[in-house]
Amino acid sequence: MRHRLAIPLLALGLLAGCAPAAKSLGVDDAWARPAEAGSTSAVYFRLQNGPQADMLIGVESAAGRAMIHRTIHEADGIVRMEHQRQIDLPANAQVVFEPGGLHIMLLDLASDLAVGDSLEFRLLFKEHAPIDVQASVRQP
Amino acid sequence: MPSRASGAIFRTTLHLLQLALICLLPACQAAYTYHGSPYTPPQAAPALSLRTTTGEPFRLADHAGQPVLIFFGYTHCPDVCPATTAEVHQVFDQLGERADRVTFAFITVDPERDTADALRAFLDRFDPRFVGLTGDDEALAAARQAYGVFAERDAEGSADYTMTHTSRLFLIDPSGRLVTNYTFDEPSEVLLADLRHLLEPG
Repeated sequence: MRHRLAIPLLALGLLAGCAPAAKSLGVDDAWARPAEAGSTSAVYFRLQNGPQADMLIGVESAAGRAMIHRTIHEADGIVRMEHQRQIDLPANAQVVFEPGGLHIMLLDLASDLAVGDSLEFRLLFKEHAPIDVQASVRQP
Repeated sequence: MPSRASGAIFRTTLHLLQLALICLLPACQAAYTYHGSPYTPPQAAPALSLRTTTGEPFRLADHAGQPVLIFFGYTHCPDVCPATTAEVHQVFDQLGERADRVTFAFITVDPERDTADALRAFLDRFDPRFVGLTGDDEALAAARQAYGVFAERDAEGSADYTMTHTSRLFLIDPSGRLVTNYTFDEPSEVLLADLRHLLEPG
């Protein structure tokens, strides 16, 4: 059963790869908040997944210790941070990292991040090869 | 059964009465409904006994005649605190010169890491007019309690801890009354509208 399904699925996958309109995994509009060395910043971006379901499983950056975080809004206006071990990426889904929601927290910044600077980070996936992204430092 | 003519007169009179009532309402009530979660009725803003980043005492009474915004946060906050401060900054930009009459006070919930210098550096990234407030543990706890603010250090991590805290932005009117507060999900336009109301009475 599994093998009989695998062939048409593979064919579909190839077709999707050839089709000019097929989306591939990519990140755009990445930006980070300005902050002082030793302090904390956050990185935001839009992640567009390709036709294969995947999982974001980690992040690395020389700018600081990077973690995937989500701001959780509880009752009565209380907010807290939750470390995310993985983020599900359904096929072709767009996942938005934005203020008040998902973000990459950068701890213990190696140097000052001033408006106009840029920083690099690497996103690690369960299936896809790692992606290197450049984020510009700016106010929202 | 009334004739068609008298029915028309009756309807016209009714319309005129309705119009008169609608025109009179604002004058009678003179009530402005604040956005966010308004206090009904507004209540005297609890006093604060804190100091600014230059070490001067900060008292709400010294800001009588001006709207005051109060937020409780911390400078190592990656997301919500800078996002809120950025929104206030954006609203100040939109108010232009009138923003000089508004005070934004950022009260630390993390005095251990938020030295006066750290607070000043954080706020200067947005607007040097923003006031950073700190104090001893009792004074800060009293301020939180008075405004119904929760703050707790998260267990995860050591020196790089985050905080769980109330993210409401409080608005005090020029007569020193707490009129409303906003949660994070409210757009900056509602704050702009409320401040415009306070800066242009009538």
